Amino acid sequence: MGGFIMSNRRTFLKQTILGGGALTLGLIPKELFASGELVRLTVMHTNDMHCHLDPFPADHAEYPGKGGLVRIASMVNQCRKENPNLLLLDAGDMFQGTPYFNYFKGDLIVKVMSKMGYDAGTIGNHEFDNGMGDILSAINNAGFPLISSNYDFSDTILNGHVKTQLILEKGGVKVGIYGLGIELNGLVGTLNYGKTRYLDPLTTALEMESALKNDHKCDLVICLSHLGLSYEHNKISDMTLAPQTKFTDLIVGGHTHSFLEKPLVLKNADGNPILVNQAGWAALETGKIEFIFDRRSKRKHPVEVIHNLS
Amino acid sequence: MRRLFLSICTVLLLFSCSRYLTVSQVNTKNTPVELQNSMIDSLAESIVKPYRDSIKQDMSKIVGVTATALVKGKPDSKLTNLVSDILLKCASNYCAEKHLNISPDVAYVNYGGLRASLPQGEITVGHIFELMPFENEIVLVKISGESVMKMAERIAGRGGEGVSGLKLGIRNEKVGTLTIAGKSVDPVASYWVVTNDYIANGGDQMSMFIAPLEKIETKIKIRDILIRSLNEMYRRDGVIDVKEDGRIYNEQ
Repeated sequence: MGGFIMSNRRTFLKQTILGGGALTLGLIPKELFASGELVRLTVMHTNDMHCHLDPFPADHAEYPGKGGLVRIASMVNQCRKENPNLLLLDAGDMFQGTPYFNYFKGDLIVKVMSKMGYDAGTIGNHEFDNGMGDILSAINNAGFPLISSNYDFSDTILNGHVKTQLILEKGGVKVGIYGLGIELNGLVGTLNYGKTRYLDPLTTALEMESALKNDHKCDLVICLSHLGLSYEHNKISDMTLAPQTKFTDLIVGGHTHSFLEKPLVLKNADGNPILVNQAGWAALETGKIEFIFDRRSKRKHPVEVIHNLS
Repeated sequence: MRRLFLSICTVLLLFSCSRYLTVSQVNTKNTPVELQNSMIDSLAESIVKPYRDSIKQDMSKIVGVTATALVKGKPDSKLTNLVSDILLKCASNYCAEKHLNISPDVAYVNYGGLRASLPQGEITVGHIFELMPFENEIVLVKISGESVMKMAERIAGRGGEGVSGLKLGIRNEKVGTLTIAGKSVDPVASYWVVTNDYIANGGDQMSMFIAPLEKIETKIKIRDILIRSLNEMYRRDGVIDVKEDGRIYNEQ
């Protein structure tokens, strides 16, 4: 039942819009949303913000005046106006990168993210930069949970503070979220992650997605990943993970600071599409993915992935 | 026949009572965050402003003035050389002050640890925070010549990083020529290498540092020493003019 189908040309749009026309969202009759037959869920996401609350300075060589969480906040507000069914997610490495972190630890960015209404985040390697005490402090101050499924914190101060999965409902859509972190050994000082046990990301992903889909009956399964988009050498990444999953619909990625023109559409283990996205770093980009669900549908519908949002 | 009919009914039933909402359409858009498409949100700004104001004075202090931009590059560069030289010098001073009778041989600065280049002209404390946002501290490790060679192999494999005290010729991503103080490295001798605590704990796959013969944790923050050293250089010699010296080079 995982994934959604997009290969077949018998598209939903052709069935609902008589006479066809341009494949834009605007042409879906509003009444279908109003009557509740269609539900629209918008996922907006960030990653590797590295405490870039402010835009880069106007004289910055690479990114003059660009980026900044204070700008993303207005984009989120706009998006929420257009569709209140908004899921706001972050894929880790909120910490480290500007003096805000040196002076105020992760507390300031978490405070702003909480105010913006983030629904969930995951733990990136830089979250460990000042040890697990600062992660705990961030969790205690955050108005949203941090999800990590493959860091076993049982023997650490984070025991009981990090969820392995999250299930929430937005506009009648049941969404399941799990989180995957990158191998800490060699990347983070041993003292900083202490007795955190690293669990295999693939095994964890398969367990989590199956539980969320089959046991908890989630309509949509999202993976928050800080594994990285892809590597030249043989290392687990979003690109190698996605084709081995069965029930994950979307991987919201991070770590490799990858700017993607548009989300990648891969095939999962059952041949169904799975989306993989990442939004650069330093709050320089946001990803937005809008899922439209059809309540009338009694079976899997073919899906068009259209990159047409403004 | 009856059984077949039942089976078909069951299958039809399964399909007709889908347990899940199904996705009918997906629309996506990745949007750059720019002046043109996003205003600064007043609520978020009102949270950040007091924090920004409170550190503004610290960040705008002038550390020194540079003659040229100090840009990070490979195999070596003005920036990687400068930072490595400062680390080696600082560690030498530390050993002298503590009467340790140690003279550090080499400094190693991981390329990825330098997060920004420095502009030409006035350098502020804020610029140094961008360059070195981490709270890393200077660590000295005593390792064998063999481990030094492993370090050099890793550096060569990465096309060069920050070093001081050694000269390295890279040939096909491997060590071609390696000298320390003009001499080739003796695998059974030991050397003192200056680096940061992240690397000394085996970060960046530098496993040759994990179990050193000896280790000294100075507790000196690298960012602090960069600010102090650059400021001293500027006050002593005027405009900071870093020359390239080809300490890491590509051999044909």
